[in-house]
Amino acid sequence: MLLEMPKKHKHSISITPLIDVVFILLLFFMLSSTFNPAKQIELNTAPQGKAIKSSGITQKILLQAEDKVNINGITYLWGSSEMQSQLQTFSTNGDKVVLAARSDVSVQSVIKLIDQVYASGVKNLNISESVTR
Amino acid sequence: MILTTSEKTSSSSDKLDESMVPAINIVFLLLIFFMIAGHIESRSDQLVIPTSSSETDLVLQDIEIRVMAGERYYLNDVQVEAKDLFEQVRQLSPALEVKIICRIHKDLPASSMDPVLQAVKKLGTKQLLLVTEQ
Repeated sequence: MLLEMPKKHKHSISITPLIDVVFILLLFFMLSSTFNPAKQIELNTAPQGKAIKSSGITQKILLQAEDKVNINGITYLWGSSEMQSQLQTFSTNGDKVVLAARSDVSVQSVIKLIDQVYASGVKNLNISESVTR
Repeated sequence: MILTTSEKTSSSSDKLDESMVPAINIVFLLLIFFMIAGHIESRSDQLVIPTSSSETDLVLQDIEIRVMAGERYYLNDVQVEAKDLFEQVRQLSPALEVKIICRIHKDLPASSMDPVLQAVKKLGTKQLLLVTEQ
């Protein structure tokens, strides 16, 4: 007996257009996504800053130029050991630190200084408006 | 008994399709990886945020001030005059306990932060969150 199965008409969907779309999506996500999520720096705004225990002494830091920092009237070179030890002292004493910058100093430099002050352990950091020459 | 089935004739395109399957699997995996792990942000040379070593991830807030190159101020994507910043923020949120996010172009002078600081101070808002990247 000869049995012949009916011919199956295979309606295969070509995957090539699908791959095209997937590749375009892949390219889009590869080019537009970043793996460096934004970070934040919390700043108290003088004078009503967040209540943090402090010694009651207020230390003033003025960013004079990209490489000069004035702490309580004494100018230090950026990143010098004297400047570091001053910041360490403020941190140890739990002093309140008010930071200002000259109006022509870049925002990036201000952030760099804020970063350094926080890194030295100062908890009570307030930022005030810029100072014109 | 003889059973005859229709002869399987695989065309060259079918073969090609089959050989592409592992490649598509990898592409799909890559696609899923980028979709889940990546963050899509609008980037512009008008707003390049400063770098810092802060490890604290940004927590989005209701109020966001952007200071673009050329000292153009935007409050929640609407351009405002620097002098009107306080009034506009106050209308948006009269509450004092609100935190305000500030994205500021890194090459601007420090004086461009003043209108933001003044507004925050006048509002009595205690904290300003500066957005940075590592």
